[in-house]
Amino acid sequence: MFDRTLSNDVASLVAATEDLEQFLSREAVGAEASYACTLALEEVVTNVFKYAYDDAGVHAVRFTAQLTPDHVVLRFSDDGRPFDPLAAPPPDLARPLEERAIGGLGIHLVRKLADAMEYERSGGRNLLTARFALRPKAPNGSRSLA
Amino acid sequence: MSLKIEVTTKAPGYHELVLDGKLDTETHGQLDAALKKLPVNGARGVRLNLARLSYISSMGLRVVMKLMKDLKAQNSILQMVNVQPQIKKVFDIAAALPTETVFASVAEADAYLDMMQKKVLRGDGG
Repeated sequence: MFDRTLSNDVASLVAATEDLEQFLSREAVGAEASYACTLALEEVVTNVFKYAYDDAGVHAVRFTAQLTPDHVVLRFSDDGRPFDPLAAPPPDLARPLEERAIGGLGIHLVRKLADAMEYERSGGRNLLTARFALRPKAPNGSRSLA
Repeated sequence: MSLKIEVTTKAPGYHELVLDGKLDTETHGQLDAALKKLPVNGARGVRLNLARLSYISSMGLRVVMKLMKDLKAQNSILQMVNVQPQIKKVFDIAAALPTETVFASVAEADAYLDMMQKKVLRGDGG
């Protein structure tokens, strides 16, 4: 199992991402699933530090990655204010690019790449679980602009 | 995570940026800075060569999407060449890759630029 506690600075995220990639490579996880897990780590942790805390102090997010026969299971835990990233409305992708607000994409990307995601508030902590198939399928509902 | 950016000017006002590495939380500021330095404002066209871009996150997407908006607002051309499958997948999920910007090869992108430049020289717009 991969287990890290990240603080809210970029260096901490960079180190954890590199270590996660190495862990997944050692566990023979394919490139596509590895990409999705790395992306999830970056997007979720960035999101937590952006929205779950009101002050600029030092905070920590615990992150674990575990393999099951069919999935990589990522778990994120933080003590910020209650914040369910899955409750946020998806970005309006139907609008032309030049009319869209830039941003709000991170969690959307993770949701589309994950097989399943769950949020729970427990013991004063936000707990987010994301499961990624070891043999990824095509993303759900993705589309490109014609 | 690291990113190398090689900038070349292919013709007056036409710039190519070759991105090598990862475009993410750590490195997106480098691309932003490179684009400011060009500058994009007043450029006729920008080409992003993504042959060696192995990873993009939402922070990277934001910089590219802003570039698309800025170029479109001034009727300039954006070309994306050699977009790797894993990068294309992220752009597709974000619905952020207009098909007219994507070129399968450098040769195809060059031919398009040539045609546009000839149009400009002839004075029939472009």
